[in-house]
Amino acid sequence: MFLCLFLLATSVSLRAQTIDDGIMIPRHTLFTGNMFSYDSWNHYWEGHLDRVNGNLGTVTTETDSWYANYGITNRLDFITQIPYVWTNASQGVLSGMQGYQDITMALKYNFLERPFTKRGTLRAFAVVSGSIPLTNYEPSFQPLSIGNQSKTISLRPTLNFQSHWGWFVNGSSSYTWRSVVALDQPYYYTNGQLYLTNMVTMPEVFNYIASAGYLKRGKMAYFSFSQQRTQGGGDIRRQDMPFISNRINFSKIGVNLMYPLPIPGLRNLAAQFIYGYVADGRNIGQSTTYTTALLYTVRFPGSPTR
Amino acid sequence: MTMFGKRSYRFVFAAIACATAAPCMVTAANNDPGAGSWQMIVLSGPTQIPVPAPASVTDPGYQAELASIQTAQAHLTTAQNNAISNWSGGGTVRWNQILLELVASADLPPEPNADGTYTFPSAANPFAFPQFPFANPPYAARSYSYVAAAQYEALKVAWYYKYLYNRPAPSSVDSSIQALIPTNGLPAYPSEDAVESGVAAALLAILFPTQVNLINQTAAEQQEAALLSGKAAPSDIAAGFALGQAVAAIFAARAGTDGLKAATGTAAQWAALAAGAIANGQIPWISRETPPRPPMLPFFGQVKTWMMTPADIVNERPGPPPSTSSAQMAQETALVKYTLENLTRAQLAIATKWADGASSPTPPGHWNFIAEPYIANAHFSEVRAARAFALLDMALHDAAVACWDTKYFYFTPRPEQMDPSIKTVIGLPNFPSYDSGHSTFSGAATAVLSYLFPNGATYFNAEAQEAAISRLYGGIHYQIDNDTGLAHGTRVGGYTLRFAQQDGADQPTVSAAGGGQALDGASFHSPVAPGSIAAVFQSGLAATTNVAAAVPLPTALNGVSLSFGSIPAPLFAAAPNQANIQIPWELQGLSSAVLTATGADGSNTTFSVPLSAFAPAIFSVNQQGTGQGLVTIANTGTLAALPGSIGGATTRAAAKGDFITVYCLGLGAVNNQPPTGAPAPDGTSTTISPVSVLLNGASVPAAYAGLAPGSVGVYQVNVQIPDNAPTGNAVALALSAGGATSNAVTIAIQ
Repeated sequence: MFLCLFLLATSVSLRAQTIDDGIMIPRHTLFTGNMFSYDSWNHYWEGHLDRVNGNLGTVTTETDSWYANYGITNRLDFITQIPYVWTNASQGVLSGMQGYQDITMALKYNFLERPFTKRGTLRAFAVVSGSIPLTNYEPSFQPLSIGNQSKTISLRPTLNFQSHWGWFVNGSSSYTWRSVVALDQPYYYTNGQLYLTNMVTMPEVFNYIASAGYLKRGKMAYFSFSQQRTQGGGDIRRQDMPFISNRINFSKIGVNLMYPLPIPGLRNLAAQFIYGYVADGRNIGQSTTYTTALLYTVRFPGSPTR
Repeated sequence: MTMFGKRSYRFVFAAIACATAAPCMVTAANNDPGAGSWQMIVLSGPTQIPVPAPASVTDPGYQAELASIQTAQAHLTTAQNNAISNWSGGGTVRWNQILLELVASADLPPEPNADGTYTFPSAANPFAFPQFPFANPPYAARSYSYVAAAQYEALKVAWYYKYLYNRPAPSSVDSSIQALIPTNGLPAYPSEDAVESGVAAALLAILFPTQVNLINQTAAEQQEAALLSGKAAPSDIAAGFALGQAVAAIFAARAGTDGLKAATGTAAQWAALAAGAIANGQIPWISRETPPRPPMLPFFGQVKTWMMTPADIVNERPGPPPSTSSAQMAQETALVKYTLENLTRAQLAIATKWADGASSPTPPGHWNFIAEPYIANAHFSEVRAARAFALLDMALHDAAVACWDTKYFYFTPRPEQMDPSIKTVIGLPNFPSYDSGHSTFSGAATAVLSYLFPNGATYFNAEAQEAAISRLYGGIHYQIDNDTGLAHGTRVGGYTLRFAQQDGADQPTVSAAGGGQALDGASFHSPVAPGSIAAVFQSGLAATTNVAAAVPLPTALNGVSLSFGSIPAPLFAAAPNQANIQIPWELQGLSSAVLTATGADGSNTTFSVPLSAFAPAIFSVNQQGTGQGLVTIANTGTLAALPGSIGGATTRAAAKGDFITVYCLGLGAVNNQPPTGAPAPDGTSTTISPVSVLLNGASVPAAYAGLAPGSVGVYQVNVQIPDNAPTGNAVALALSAGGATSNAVTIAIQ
């Protein structure tokens, strides 16, 4: 469940490429590639209590994703991502897990774009996205499960100001609804109650991200700050294991860099590096995440930049 | 004279009696009136706890109690209706669910201190971290068993007094009080709900002291629900609560000295366990946690059991596991590793299903969870439901003791200690491996549950097998731990099973306490009178329910037959656990007779039936001999009851001067006696002894008393309501014949 949160947190970084930013991929253009992230923590918050756990040591989550963003029109993009996840604990007896996690698919619509002051352009976006587990991975072996087996649907508005000189500010928030999860065990205890059912209601999640930086001619650099607030769920109790419906909150800072690689004959290849750090949280690991990506732009007939 | 007109009689039995009274099958739950004589476990007998006689139902104090219930029922809040709903499925089932939650809430190991040590929870300071208790599997098994056994013991005492005093429920005494939870005619004093809550409040406050507020609220809610639902008056509840607390005190004293306090041991004792294993040439178990955690309750094997002696524990202890240096142990370890490396998703799901680690009701709770729907759906009386939980949980506790004895006797390392490259997919328990706790619990639970619910035996056994192998799939047990544990648990469960087989609950023996199994069909009290109808309760009698199609009645129904020596008893109906018979007229003059019941499977059971020439008993609408009587306005099918008070029946209050007809049993010898099994032909089968009708205790001579024409074994008494008769919605009516007085039912007189 940590993982899930991490993945939610991680996904913020991954998606920062396009789901929550002010960038649109033009019509008939495909922006695709591989992203690899390495997330680890040895401190975590048990409720609000910051602690270490000798039976876990450092928990590592590695995620290798195929990512694609396709411009259906200049105003409408389709984005998808398929992650394969490995988990591991450096100490203790618990086995790591691995497998394909949840496919994410999103439609991003740029419904407003107009000059704002003499300095730049104001854009507004609406994103609807959903995710579905790709495999029947085990959801209740937290914190080493690779996900939480919940289908999700999110709505996300974004407002972006891009100046003519390249600097920009961006604000985006999302609200996520999550489907009920069926556990393998017939009952569970969470949030002060024993539930005599295997069905877990997953609380909704609110998230926002604010970012500012530079973007021009494929070169990008920015700082971000994001927060997540889960709209329900219980805390991890003292010395208890995490549970998938825990109230997972966090504040995270991030740095995102992208640079077109100057490789002759591969003009369309860009490298990306993302750093994320959970500065404060509740029922989540105090993780550091490093993500690298190689992304290639393919322009099909009809692409305006072909 | 048409007072006993056939038409009106038939109408009554078609409209009401056929669904409610003896000539058709009595399908209501058996109230187990003999439970007061079932074998005790800790108490010496029901009279060890004195319960004083209640005030009469006509006592002004009791009448005031009824008025208070009536007032409360008129203004039920949502919370009160919820409380009634919460407890309508039976108190033992609900307390068991609450106990599962209490265990899960307390099933958390202490966290390590900064210096690598662990602080043990303290009963003297339960709210301090780590909170008391850590409800680990042995602690949980013991807790479940104390609550279940004490509730069962206290309910047996309650049943003894219920049928000694026979005070009806308020809704039976006063028809203006609604029965919001059906009482099935169970006597109300002392209240079973109050008994259960009295036991639970006292014991749970000791077992789970941090939850005392929740426990007390729950206990209060159960008593409130009993009162508001018309089941129990305040005096029924007060007597029940006192009884429950008194029994709980006896169990609390036992718990204080049962050895749990010494089960944690000391560092020196833990070291001695390891030294003992080394002296035997074995690798000793060590904690695999970081920092290493002291072993879980290493001396729980010396805690007092319910059904076993300390010698039994030693005798049932399995032989040693393979030596830690043996090739067999290497193979066992390799199998664990191979299983994990080739684990299927289905196997992982099984391991997860049975993980029952931190924050769970623990494996004993898992078996309570499995048993609960069987108990809830069996339509047991409360005392029999309590018996089921008690038998299960006593067996689980004894399994915990037996398994912990074995674990610390051999002190065997877990597979991961033998090969640290093994990584588990569920938490690794912090105690020795051999033999498996899950497997031992499951073997014991299956032995008991398969006896109680034979139809579920295949399922219970499959669950037990799955629970056992789940520990191999999880990577935390050798196969031999699981195989040995299942067999160990089955042997341990056998001790409780043998107790259950002879405790009086499943046997048709007739006890001195009046808990006879051959009961008259009208009010379910023994003895019974020749010529009348009796319900015989006997489990496993038939596979299905069969009802006689015609008169004269048959002497066998689908293989089921009952006979007194060479005299067959005519059968009205035969069901899986009950047969309704006519006591043959030929037995007149005897004080008892031996009844042989032959089941559909050919099995024979023999028991003694007490007989009496007169055993008057009046049919009632609730089929249990209390509340509104099966009394009609003569020559009509109209019940002499408050208008609209009985669904599906025409009712009106009897007026002064009306003739009424009382349907009943046990009025003794008759003129023009029909053959056994044959119906009375007409109104000439009148009683030889005079019969009088008691209205609120005042005697009125019967105008007619004799067999009801056209029926087998049923009498009817016709009487004219005198001008000086008491009036009301629930005037008490009883019969007196041959010096014996019947049960009291009620009728409405205006």
